[in-house]
Amino acid sequence: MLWGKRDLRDTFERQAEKVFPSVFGTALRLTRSREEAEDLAQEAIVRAYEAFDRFDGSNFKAWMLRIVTNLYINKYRQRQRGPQLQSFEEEGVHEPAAGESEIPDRLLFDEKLGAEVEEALGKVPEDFRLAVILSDLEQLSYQEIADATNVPIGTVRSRIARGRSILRKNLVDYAMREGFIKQGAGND
Amino acid sequence: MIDRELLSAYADGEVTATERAQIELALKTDSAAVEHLSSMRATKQFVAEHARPVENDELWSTCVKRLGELDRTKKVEGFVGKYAWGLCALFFCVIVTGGMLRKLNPNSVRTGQVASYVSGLAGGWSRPPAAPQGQREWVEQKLGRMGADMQPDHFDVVACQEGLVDNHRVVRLLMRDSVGVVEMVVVSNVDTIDGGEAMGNFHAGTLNGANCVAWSQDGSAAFLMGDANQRTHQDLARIATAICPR
Repeated sequence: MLWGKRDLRDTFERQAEKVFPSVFGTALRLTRSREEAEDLAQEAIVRAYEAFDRFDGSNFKAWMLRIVTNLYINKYRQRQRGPQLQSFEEEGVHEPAAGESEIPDRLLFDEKLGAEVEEALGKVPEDFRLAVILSDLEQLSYQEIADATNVPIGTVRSRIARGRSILRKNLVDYAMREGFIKQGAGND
Repeated sequence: MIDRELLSAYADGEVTATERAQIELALKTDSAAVEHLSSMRATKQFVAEHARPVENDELWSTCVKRLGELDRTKKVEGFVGKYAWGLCALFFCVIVTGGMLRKLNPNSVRTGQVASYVSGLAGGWSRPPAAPQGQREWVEQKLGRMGADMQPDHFDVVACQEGLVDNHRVVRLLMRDSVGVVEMVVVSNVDTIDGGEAMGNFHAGTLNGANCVAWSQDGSAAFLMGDANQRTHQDLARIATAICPR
């Protein structure tokens, strides 16, 4: 063992506290239920602590998120409802009707967009959502995402691209509903 | 147009040098690809900036508490795991030593054994004759020499149960005096009494919540028990003195 027991606990707590917002945020965005996210985050912390003496010391955040992701996939996913992966894998993603660069500039002004962003993210099918969360919100590399989700790096690349497109479409739909951009503006 | 997955990976800096060169060349001529790349980067940035931060202070405290509990549990498990063999060996030694001591001195009785002697009595209750003389003879017959020394004018014998338990003759008497009912258990073939606190010629203690005074006399051990709420050891000792004058 690399550290003494007390040191091990202190070291773990220090590192885990720093990444805990990412752990809980990811759990919340995956489960979309506060109660389940709390359970998932707590369980992930306990599992990580139990396995901390086997942590290779490279990227703690990526390691923690890998634990959260694996726990979610193995334990919580079957309980979840919502958009599933296969329809998009098979049929491809429809691109949004609005102009490519139009959305963010128009929407950035509104501070209330947080809820809409979360909702748009929640509508992205689960495996795509997971890839986008780990990449765009948690800044993991493709390799780290591949390790966390147990899929090849090529699949990660594909899921991120598709997930972003769906997310963008969801945001465009919102922008159109709210009148920020015109219907059919800037089609691809 | 360039493959959009490739453009997405390019936006993330996750392409090979060859792919990078290929994309950058294409971006010079493909305006749709430029717009798509720009849109993708903007969406990525937008989501990163607008995703809601989550409150987690309370949950983190809960996690820290759980880690503490986990440590404590592991500590206990570790201790038990480490010293289980030692504890087992200790208990084994205690049991073996107890058994040996008992074998070495079979004529010793512990106050804690009285309950097992009493529960080992299988026979029913018998009642003494009503007449005082008849009662004295009846008690003497049951208790032998100890019965001959008793002074029955201090109490009435109500009932008696007797039998053989662990090679000891055991007699249980229910007696009544001016205060209430007391119970006397006499175990024969006993030289010494272990347990209880020495109080003059007696051992005093508590048995099953009742005060108990014990003494040995004429090769038997006698245990006198009364309701703890009503009788003190001194009361019992007074009765015992009447039973066993010294």
